[in-house]
Amino acid sequence: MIRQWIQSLLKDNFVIKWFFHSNQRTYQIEINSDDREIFEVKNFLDRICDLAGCTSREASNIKLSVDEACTNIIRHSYQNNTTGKIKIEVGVGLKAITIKIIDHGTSFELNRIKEPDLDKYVRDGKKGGLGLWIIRKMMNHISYRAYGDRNELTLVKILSKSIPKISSVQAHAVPISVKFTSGAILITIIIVISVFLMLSHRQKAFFIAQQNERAREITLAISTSSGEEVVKKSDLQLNQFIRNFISGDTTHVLSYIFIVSAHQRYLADSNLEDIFQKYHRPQGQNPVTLGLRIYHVGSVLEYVMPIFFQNKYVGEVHVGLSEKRIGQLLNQAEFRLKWIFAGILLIATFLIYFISKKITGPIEKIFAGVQAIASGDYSVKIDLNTQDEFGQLASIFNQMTNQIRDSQKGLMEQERMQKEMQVAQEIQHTLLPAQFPEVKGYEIGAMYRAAKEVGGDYYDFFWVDPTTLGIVVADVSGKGVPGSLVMTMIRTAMRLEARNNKSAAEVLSRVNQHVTSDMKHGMFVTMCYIILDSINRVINFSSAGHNPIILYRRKTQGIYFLKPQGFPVGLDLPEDNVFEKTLSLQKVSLEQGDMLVIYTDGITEAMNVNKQQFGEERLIATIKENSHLNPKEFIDELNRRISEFTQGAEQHDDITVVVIKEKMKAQTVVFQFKKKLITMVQEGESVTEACRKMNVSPSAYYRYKKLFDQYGEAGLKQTDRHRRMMTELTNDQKMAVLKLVKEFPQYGPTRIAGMLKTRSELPMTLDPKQIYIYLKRRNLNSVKARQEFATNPVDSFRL
Amino acid sequence: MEGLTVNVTSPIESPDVKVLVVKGFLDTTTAPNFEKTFQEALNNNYYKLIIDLSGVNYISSAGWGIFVGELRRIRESKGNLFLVGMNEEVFEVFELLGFNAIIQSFSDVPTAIREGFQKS
Repeated sequence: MIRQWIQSLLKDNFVIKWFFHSNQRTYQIEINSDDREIFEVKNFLDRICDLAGCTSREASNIKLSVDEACTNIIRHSYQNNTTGKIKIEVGVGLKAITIKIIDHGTSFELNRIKEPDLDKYVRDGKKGGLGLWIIRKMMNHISYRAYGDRNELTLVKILSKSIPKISSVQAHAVPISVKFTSGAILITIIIVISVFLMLSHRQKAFFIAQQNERAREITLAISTSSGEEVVKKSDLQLNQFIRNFISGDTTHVLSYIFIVSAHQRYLADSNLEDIFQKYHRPQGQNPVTLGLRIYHVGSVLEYVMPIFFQNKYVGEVHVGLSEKRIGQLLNQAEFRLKWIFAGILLIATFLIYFISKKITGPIEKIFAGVQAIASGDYSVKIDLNTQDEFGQLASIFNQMTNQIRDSQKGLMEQERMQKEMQVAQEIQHTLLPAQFPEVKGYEIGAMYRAAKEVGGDYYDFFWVDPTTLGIVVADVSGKGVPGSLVMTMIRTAMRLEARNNKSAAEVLSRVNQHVTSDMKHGMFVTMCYIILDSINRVINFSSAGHNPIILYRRKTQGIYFLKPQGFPVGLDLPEDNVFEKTLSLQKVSLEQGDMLVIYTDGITEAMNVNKQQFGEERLIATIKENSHLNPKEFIDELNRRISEFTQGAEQHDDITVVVIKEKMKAQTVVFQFKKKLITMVQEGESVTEACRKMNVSPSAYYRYKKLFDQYGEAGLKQTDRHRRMMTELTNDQKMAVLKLVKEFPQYGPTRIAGMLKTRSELPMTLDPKQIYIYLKRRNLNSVKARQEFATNPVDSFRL
Repeated sequence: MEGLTVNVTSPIESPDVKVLVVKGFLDTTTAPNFEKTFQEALNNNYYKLIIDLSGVNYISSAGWGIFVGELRRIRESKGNLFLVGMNEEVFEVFELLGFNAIIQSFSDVPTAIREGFQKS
């Protein structure tokens, strides 16, 4: 039957694989993204629901949900293109059916699906969008994930009836006890009957021989001892003689005895009073003059023997043996024997029945136990107090049941855990920002690619004030639910602390204070917090032990690693305030086309099957080669390169990257801002109100106003602050500085700067102040330290 | 189980009511077929509509969308739309999705005419 079923599915050009693993049976079907093929999915689900023992209501819910899901994928993911593929994997578990619907189209935002406002539907005459809501209502659990080009929608339906019943095939079979008993009884019957037949046959033969022998003896006795009486014709004596024999015959097998004289006259007859009558010899009999003769006279066997007196034939004796009577006696004996054997048979049957009950009883008990297990009752225990093989079997069975029960418990626990993990994952996904913020002058793009487990990465955007955006990228050291919880904690703390605080370092310090005491020992979070001030065009950031931020300068095509000092959040540091003291704040201003890449180690540590890592070099190469792209395109390209590199190897860490790109000239943005502020006041807004809205101080407004009144728009175009100095050196610059320090440890920043300017191989112009800051960070700001560094060959060129 | 058929009838006692007797299943593939007939009725200014779903065993969102989508137009034209004869499974979805709050349903066509149209 199953084979026919597979064939029927294969016939319709669907590839179906199914395999068994643990308790879950999995079935698959793949269709083209064509409405008409959904019908086949419904048939497929019908069969599975039937196998899984769903109620018709559950089956109908499942079919409807999958129908809606497929329809949505065809409409939105594949845009009605019928060449796409939709794969449906159905897992039938003990208590639930899990359906995974996989497609390779554009992903959609699942969390946008809210309960539709039905009145709005009616008002607007809107038709679509019901599908996903139907799925929400019909299924117990729904989740959606997009991995690269693969979108996976998972639907779970919990079944009311827990276990797919194992059909009791044996229901109509003959029980073993009956088989055993009837077999044994049959054999007994055969034995008893054959014994009976043999016995009765021998008894018969023996009885007949015995009777014949007696008749012969009687005949002989009469013949030898009655000669004188015959001669004398003393009939009284002879009659008495005969009668003695007749009366001695208690079984009445002798029909008669008579004696005839040589003259054919009766001399004595057991049946006749009247003697001396003529004896009429029956036909075929002759006078017997020699030895014993036996004749058949009717049903009587007649023994005839001559009687001699003084060697002279004087008469004959006839003894009649009744064959009829012998037959009667034999029948009587046989009848008795039959009863005896019937009795034996009856007793034997009872004995066999009881013995077989005793033997097969344990089998029935074990069978009942196995059946109970099959139907999911793991609490059964087989109670057998025998020590034989059955007893052993029962005790092994009980052990096995205990093990199954324990592992079942474990499995259920695992199932529950998995479900919780899914929920955790879903929560985590909802916590990630769904929309990229619009910040004037900046373009921002982000990517988050989750590893299989609930990951520890997290990124977030929020408004510090109406013109200032905060961006967090964090990596929690733990994965799974604990990591997820810490992440949630940090997210909340960040959102609370970030508001109206424009110092990244201060916010991180406060967050650290909040969460450290609540974090498990040994867990920590590396994070990077960046504050984009869209008015002053300054980015300030702090890093709590996070990977460096990469800055790409378009003008010089230089790559800078920005890594302000700081310990990870949540570490149990030996002294108070160490975190705050070490955490430093850096500021940077972007020029048009500059790019800031904030990432987690999931990118650089992305591995291919040969355990090679994607690495910093590939990341930098990607940045250099694609700096012309906008953040979204850049991230797509980066993602493509990572996928190309890993070639489908399993992703073992979350990947997060946020890219910020300066779109316009800083002066333009600032000019527009000032212009808007002045226009607002010109249009009648009060100065206080306008300044509040634009988030500047009134004194700044008056300063702008003065410049505007004096020079017109040209005055607003002036930058009122000197450009923030770039404190960070590129890797090449750092290398050059360190080389000089090694060579001339006695030189300070100014002389180093001078030497760098005149170096023949690669002249570079650096501000001595920049060099000083770098040397200070490397602890090389004293001559002594530099001399030590120069003589120490080990600590060579750590940048 | 081949697609969907729609028959349009008018009860003798109330000729202004149109009954759409639907048989089969209503999903993405068959919904356009139904919608055509449905729109025809509306375009011919029949706004008192009864959809007889007693022969329907399956309705997906595409089907529900049609009912809900035209409700406003129907009601603005002083008409109404009733669903009758839904089987248990279809009714479950109807209730679950909360359509019972916006569309009235009845057990059969005569009841719908009596309770729905004649009373109002």
